[in-house]
Amino acid sequence: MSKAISALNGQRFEGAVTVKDLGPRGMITLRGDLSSAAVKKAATSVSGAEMPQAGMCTIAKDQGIAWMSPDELLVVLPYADVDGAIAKMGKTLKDTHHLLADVSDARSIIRVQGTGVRDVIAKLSPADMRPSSFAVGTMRRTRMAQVAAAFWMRDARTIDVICFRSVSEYVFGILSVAAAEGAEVYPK
Amino acid sequence: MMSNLKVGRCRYGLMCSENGFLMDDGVVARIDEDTWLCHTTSGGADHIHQHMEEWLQTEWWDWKVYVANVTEQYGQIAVVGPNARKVLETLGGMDVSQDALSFMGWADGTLAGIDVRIFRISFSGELSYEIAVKAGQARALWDAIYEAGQDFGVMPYGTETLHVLRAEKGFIMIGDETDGTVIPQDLNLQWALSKKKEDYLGKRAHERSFMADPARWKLVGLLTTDRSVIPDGAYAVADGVNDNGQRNTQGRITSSYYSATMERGIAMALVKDGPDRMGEVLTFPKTDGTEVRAEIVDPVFYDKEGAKQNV
Repeated sequence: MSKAISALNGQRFEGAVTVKDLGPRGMITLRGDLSSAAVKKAATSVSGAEMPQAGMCTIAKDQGIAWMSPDELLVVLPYADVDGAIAKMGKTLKDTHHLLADVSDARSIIRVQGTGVRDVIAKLSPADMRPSSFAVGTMRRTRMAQVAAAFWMRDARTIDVICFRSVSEYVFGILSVAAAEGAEVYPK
Repeated sequence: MMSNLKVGRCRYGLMCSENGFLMDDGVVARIDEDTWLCHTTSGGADHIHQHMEEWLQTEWWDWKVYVANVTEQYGQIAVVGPNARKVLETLGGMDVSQDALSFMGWADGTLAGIDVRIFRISFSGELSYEIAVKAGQARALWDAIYEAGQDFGVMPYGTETLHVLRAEKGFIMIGDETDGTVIPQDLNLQWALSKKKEDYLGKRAHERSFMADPARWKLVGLLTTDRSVIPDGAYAVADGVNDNGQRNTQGRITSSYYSATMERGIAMALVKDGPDRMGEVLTFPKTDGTEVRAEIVDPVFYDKEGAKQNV
């Protein structure tokens, strides 16, 4: 195989807030009955994370689980671990109705970091980004300007955004414009 | 019918709306006992995914079926033409012979050291391999194919070329031969409608009187008498005028191209009683006031036996 590189190939933008491509990341779509013991075990055993509540994620550092819908999870883990994780999850789910799909190459993951991070996202998405509505650990599937995107709050000044591969440049571009020096909602 | 498709094989299929109109077409591959991969029209994947999701959530919630749109996970490269096999054999890694990977089959393997899934499906009627690869590996595979293909006259081709090549074969294109008012029967695709299924989306609509009406315009090929290219969308006029004083019509162009293979204009059209009127000549007025005449022919202009794709 050729060396794995992401669609954005490590791009980085330094503005009032920093925007950077995080490179290849393992992502596995798991659909099933989220209350089933086998589904929970499949997701938690490969990610080392707890099951998330609805609308939340349990991604600590760079791996964990995001809640996508009442019957869908996104399992996030290192890119190189995906094949092994899918094989292991398949075994756990052998007798349980489920769907597993490697979607690592289908998406880009972009980190937005800085004190104004909530405002950067709020300019582009209809999500309510006030701390009272969007706490650390919240996961939101929504839109950014013209395309589908999702993001979660990693810590008080960091949001990780995922989008489809084909719109990576577009999303990186709008995030960079929204994060530029002079574009702050509350200038210093 | 896709339920009786064998693992490792592919089948062309149609999708109708509940009103019977042709919504999409594509090739379905049976991946394993419980998994089917459904190719859609380019750009149609989101729409079809949502369509499936809606039916699964509202009507067939007890079917135990999940769907995922994996379009963006893959780059899919079509290697097409009489030398396609030789190019892949130059790259090496898996057996792509007719015996090992026959027409309408698929196989997993490696090419040039890259994990691939090859579908032997053809959009142009030629020997064709559609090679799916993780999107992040697509450029590396493209470069390897392009280099290996130099000795065989390799050339990138775009969708306009693809449109012309498929039209030479009489293959329909969603959005050209269909416009939301066309049913499979209009395109002589009755063969793709299952007679074994008790029901399918669109079946009842197809039985309604105006859908079963033999006077519905049907797909034919057209060859202009002067070899020119008929303007796309042009109407064939009939005798007389309607209540608004406009010329009556009896057909319209759905696809029209200059075919380099045939060295002339070719077209497909929906024409009243078309398939029963082979050899008749229709008149198409143009916006510049002149007209062009065209003979009704079989819509398959090239390789009528379909021999070239199955070698």
